[in-house]
Amino acid sequence: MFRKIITLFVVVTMVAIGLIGVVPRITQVARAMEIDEGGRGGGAFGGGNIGGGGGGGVIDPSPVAEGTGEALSTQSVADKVASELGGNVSKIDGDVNSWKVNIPNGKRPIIVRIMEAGSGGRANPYFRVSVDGKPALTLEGKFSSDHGLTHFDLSNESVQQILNIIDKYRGR
Amino acid sequence: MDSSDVQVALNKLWASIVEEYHFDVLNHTIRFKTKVVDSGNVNEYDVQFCQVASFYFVDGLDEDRHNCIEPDEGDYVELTSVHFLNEGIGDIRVVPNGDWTNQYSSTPNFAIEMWSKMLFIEAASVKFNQEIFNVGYPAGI
Repeated sequence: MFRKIITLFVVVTMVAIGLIGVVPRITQVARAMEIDEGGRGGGAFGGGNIGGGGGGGVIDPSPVAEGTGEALSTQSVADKVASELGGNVSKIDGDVNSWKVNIPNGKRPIIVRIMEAGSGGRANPYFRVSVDGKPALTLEGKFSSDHGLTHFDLSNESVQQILNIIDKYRGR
Repeated sequence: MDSSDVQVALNKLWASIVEEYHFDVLNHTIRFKTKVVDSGNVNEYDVQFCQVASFYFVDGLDEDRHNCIEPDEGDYVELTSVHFLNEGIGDIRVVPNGDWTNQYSSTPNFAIEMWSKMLFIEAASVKFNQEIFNVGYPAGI
């Protein structure tokens, strides 16, 4: 009987010690996941994470790419545009989730900038299409130096809008 | 005045039209006068990088820097983006063929895109319109 009590005590003690060790580790993993989610939240558009930096732990209800169920991000828009038009994607230093797509266009490449919220002081993620050395392009594919006509908040239609702008600029 | 205050000011210059610029080696300044048109409203800015210790200009990405395009009628220079990095962008060092050029290096703390061109500046302060930001030089080589 005494032996059984000792055995039970040892088992209970070992379980308790195990839990003491495991709980903080579970908490740490949970915290790491929160930070990771916050970081990704900075790149996803849909608002709510103004100021760039990807911090703040805000997880916004981002738009979802049609037919894929995949959350859209500034990077995914950049990748899709580059893939459609044979461009090169590069990350813009100094921002967490801003991207530049260089599309071959003779001596003057077309540059699509897909920028995170906070870039250039703008509240929402946005895009801008320009031709090297020229003013930016409007939705009609015309040159303009007016931000109101050339800076567009990101949405589910952004990839198609970008493709249309470039088609119109090229006279297609 | 922390680094985010500087960036908030510099954000106003993004995609601005450069109307005048002046590199003054004697007085260690680089100055841009720009304007921004937004939905028909025009804002003008005057930014001066002071105590400029170094600047480095590249006319395009990789080999495209050799592609010096003749401007068309109506073309202009744009400050596409202006970034401040408190810790510096990185080190610029000459890989020398001789001895004396390896004594010239810099650690820029401002990166200014002008279309696909890039201007790096190492400066200790910025005067934005009438506001002065003393940012100091980044620690570097």
